[in-house]
Amino acid sequence: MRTSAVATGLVLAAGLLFGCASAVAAEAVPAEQALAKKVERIVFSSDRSGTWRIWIMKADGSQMNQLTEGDPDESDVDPVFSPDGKSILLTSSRGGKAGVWRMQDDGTKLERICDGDQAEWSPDGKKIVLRRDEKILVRDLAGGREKTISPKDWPHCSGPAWSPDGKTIAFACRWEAGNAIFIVAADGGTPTKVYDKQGACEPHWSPDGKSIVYETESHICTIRADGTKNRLITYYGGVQHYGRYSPDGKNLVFCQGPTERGPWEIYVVPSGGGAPRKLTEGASDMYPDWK
Amino acid sequence: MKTRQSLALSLAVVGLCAALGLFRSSLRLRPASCWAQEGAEGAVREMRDPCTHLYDTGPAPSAPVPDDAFARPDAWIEVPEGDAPAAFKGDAIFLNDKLAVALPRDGAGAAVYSRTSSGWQHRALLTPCAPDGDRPAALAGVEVIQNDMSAVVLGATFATDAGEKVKATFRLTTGEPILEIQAGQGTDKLVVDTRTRHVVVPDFFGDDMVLRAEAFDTPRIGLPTENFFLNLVEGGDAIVMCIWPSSDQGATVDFADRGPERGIVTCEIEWAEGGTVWVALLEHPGIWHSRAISSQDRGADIVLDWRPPFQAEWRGSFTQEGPFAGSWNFKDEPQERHLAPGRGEIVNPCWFDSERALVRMPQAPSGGEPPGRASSYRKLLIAYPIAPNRATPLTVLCPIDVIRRTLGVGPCQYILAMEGLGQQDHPTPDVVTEWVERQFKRKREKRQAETIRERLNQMADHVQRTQERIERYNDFARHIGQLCARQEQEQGTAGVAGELRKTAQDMERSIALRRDAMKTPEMVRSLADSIVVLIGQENVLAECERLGEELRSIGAAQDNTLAKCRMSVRWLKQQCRMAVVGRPEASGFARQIQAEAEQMLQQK
Repeated sequence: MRTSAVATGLVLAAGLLFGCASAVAAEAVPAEQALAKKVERIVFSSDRSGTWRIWIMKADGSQMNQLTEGDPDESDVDPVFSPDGKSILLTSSRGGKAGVWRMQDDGTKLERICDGDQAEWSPDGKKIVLRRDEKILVRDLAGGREKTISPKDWPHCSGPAWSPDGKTIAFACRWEAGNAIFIVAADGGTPTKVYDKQGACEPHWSPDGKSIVYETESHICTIRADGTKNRLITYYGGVQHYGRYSPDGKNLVFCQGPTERGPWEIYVVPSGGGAPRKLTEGASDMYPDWK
Repeated sequence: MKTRQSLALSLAVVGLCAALGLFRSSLRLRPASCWAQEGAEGAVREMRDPCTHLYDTGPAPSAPVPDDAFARPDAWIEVPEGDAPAAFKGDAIFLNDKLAVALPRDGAGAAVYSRTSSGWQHRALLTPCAPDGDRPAALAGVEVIQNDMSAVVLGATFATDAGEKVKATFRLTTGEPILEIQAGQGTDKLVVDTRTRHVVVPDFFGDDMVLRAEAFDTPRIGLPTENFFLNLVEGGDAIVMCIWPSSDQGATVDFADRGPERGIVTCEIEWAEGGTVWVALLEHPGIWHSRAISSQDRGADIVLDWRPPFQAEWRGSFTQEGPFAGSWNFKDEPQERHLAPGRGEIVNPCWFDSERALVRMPQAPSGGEPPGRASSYRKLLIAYPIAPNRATPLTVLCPIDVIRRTLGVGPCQYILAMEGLGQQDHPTPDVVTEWVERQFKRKREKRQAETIRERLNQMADHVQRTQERIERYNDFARHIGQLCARQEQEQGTAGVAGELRKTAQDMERSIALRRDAMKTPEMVRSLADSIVVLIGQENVLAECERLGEELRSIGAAQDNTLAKCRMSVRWLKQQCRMAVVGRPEASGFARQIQAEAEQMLQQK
């Protein structure tokens, strides 16, 4: 999770209390009709069924479907599409311990991969990068080999994101002085700082690999990978978090909440800034990923 | 400080927070018809290019800012992105879709305009001043530090008649109605000239303060604020909010001459080199509203000739003698009775129904009036937004948004933490007992036994800490009373010391009056233990509720006492500020007490 523990809890709590409200475009869709391939979709985590579960919808907010179910005491969050869109990585507390899980995009074949959280795919889909014990690791999915790529003496690393060319990984690190975004070679090395102001964290790459979307304490920004062209994209009231690019890079999906504690609604905004469009409401929806 | 954190940790607090029952009020939104201009979607349609632009007006003046300023008027020359001209031929003006800031070549400050539905409106003049207090006489130069679509940053140098240089840096970013001003060499304070009707100092634990010109005899008063205040601009369509990071920075307001139009004309914020002040313009038709209240209105439902222009958390403050107001958030139910942090059990006198905003002038609070307002004749109801809720249009900024955006999330939460005992993050008696009662009602108390014990223990610890905080206030009041008693023997400080001693005595009296109702932390632990004993027994819900009611009553009494203490210390600080400004013979003593009051308020 990307904000403070209390903040997270409050968001989750709000969801548990009000999780049964319907979404803007929510409509029951039979599983067999669910979401034809090649239609752009957004996968996200929502408390609208009472517990944090993985949901999916079309990129216009319609045809919302719940993908995971389970024990009310166990939650699924932080979903990410595989490069081919057929699989989804997620973080789940199933079994009592946070771990990285994988499933098909229809919610079937849910399987645990390893301990950790905040996982993302490599561009070829053969590896994942994840966080464990506040370190960033790369894991080979076939063989299970792992390599820590964040420096040993760096504290509080989080939010890894693999660049589209597969060569580098962006991540955030928290120091006493604040947060910063770094880029490191995918096989490790000395990280390069991208930006270190306003609590910057949660980096995600644009599809062309030129830009990174990240979040400050309350807004979504974009910046070139070389640290130039830093730009505030959302400057609205309340708090905006969890920004990710659309597959064509023209839009950003993000979450809007009245406070840093949520509850969150999913919006879309042009990646150069502009008028946002609301996709969901009525519950708390977080961690959108667009494919 | 923010970072991603583990899911395990997140999940660990799920049950706890679910139990807290948070966000109930914020999610209960009014029907659409209540709001004068509805919803996020409509506001979003109004959004324009949010990027920043910089112009040299050439021979044309910057004032008034033409309505089509955003369409790059022909008379002005846009400074291309990345360019930094050596000198401006005319006025330097930079803007985004909400604010325009002009540095006129023949002026000595920054004129700030707000974009409204009827064009650009002048809202404030910002003047960096030298230590001698004199305003600069002229603009001596402008340096372009940054000029791109994300921000324009200009360094301005002003010159005084004595030839002294006063420097400041102005920064405007994409899409935000917030101007950041950083003090440069030779600066001592920032003067903000506005057409202000009232100055409001919100408080997130006790009542707000509303400063009205007619309530003060002096031409100038010190503001009892630590980080920010709101200028309610004449006309009701704008709020000029000033924010600064250090509570060491003081602020004052100057009143215009006497007369029916007497208002607040100038605010000054202390501002040393390297310091930052933000000025935010919250602009919306009807963003604040006032209504005169007479004694004949007492007890009657008053329908306001106003509807809130957007959904948000709105506050209604009833002015009283002196700066303190009785402040309530507008609720969705008429005369809602509830336990509120800092107030105990109250009947809320401000509410919305489907079509209207209504108030009922509150009765005098139980336990007597706070110090400084022995006569509590309410003259005015003032309504203004304080925080967004999930239905607030994205284009609207509320004061809390501005605090978060300027000071950061951490300091914002610190301010909102009230006395360090805020409701949301702390196991207050009302929060915990309501959760415990729910477990008994749902017959889940056996399964939740361990958590119930833990939560009740946390609650008892919280009550203990709160009581300790109250005792610190009591010690502080006694200490100040003793200091003042000694100074009353000294010529020059006797008058001020006598006034301050009265405030300190009032605070001690407030605490003493509530001691019976607050019981003791030991009593709270005993009551908590009695609830634990009920676990596993049959038909004990009524007894659980009775014990819960008793605990809530103790918590409410503590909250009420704490609010009174906080208000007393704020009033003490205000008295000191006024003495420093208006009674130089006692300024040394007043500064000493002011510093102690500030320290007391900061110790959360």
